[in-house]
Amino acid sequence: MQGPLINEAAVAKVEELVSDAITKGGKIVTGGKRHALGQTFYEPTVISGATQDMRISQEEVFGPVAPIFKFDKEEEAVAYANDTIFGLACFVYTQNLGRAWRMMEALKYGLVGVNEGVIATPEAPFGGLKQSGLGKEGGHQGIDDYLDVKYVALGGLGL
Amino acid sequence: MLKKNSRFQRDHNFIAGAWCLADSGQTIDVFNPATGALIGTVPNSGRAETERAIAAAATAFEAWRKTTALERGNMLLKLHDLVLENQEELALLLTTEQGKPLTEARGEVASSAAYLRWFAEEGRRVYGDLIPSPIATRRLMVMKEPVGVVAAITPWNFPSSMIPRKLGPALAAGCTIIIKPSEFTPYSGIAWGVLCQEAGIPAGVVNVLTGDAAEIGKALCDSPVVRKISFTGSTRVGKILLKQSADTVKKVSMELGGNAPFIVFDDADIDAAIAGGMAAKFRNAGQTCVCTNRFYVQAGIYDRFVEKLAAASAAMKVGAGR
Repeated sequence: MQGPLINEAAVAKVEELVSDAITKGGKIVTGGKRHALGQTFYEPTVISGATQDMRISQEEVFGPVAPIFKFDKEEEAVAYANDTIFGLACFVYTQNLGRAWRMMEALKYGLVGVNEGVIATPEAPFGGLKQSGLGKEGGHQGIDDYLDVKYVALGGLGL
Repeated sequence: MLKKNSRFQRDHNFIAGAWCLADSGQTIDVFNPATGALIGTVPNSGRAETERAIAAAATAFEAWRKTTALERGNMLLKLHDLVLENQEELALLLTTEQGKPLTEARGEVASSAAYLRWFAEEGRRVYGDLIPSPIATRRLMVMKEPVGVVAAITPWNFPSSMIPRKLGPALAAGCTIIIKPSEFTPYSGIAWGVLCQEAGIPAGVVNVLTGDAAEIGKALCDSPVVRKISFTGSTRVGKILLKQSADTVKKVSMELGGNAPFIVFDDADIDAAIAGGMAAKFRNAGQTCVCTNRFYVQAGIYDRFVEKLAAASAAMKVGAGR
């Protein structure tokens, strides 16, 4: 089930990035336009043949659009994934333990989902690296940002 | 205008425990994105109202910081219970102004409660240190204290749960807070004023105001009394707040934009990857900062993955959240 986007500006941004992807050789497999319901509803969209020169590889679409890029080697996937100023969440699907571990270490992101797509929870620190942010919310780290650390030296105790 | 059907749908600011309008009397219209219908209006506040909220939070801080972590934790647990008791009503309000499906809205409200519970518990474990002194006549220690007045600026994509992520640790630590929810989804933010009032949290400890985002943000940043700013939103706005916070050297927490990659290798369980990918992409219509922005799929399963993701996407129902 999918609801509407928040407003017209959000739909305009989605349309802009989809149109850019098509111009650069992306193929709409499903969706690709406003939904027949009107308002700010947009069709769930899948684009194949996505490439790194498309704006959507660098800009957050913030809408129901899934561009799918192809890669051959593990190193290539890491390089593409890290080729961004952002570093909030990333997801990796593999059944190979060694590969899973190598990806966890290689990806410059604050949140890593391995074989899981929705991972935020109060018990764990949520927060981005690079230009995705500063500080953590949740986890035992989540309260640190609200505390001052004060060092006190006590003398004259007659010790 | 929609008929008001919830006690949580207040058209006012909540400052120093009182419900008030903008000084100018001006308002902002709030719409239901699924229908375009006007839901109501909220105050279009600016610098003056913000400064009053800061003063209220500063006054309340003097008594609040002296309460014990246990007392504060108990109040947060009471707030937690109130949120869950009113889960359905809060979820309906959320869906009406934000658009997400009611199931997701219920989940978000449950997550709001979960954050409160977590920080109610964590607040009781804020330990200091005793340091072995290198000088025999001295004793050295580290104390942890609340930073003071905190400002929270929260987004429209999770209008309920981004607030307790900040309010929870702030109150647990002994801080007081001023909350500025998004003008697109203000009601789920203002609802926290109602909830805090009903939970018996003292006046001025939690203040909520709506209005001109740039002017309120600037007033919060300019104030030397506000010791910390916590923002969830775009990287663009985050950078503005960081620059504005520099003059008063505030602590800052910034949860900004993402560009999440979702990498699927040939050796993956492809159906699990499709299920995870659908949730990671289309939750909240793709409007979350952790939403997948790019799928990277290895050549060996590329065509199959495209086909399956397209089939699952095409099968998804699109419609009003409630």
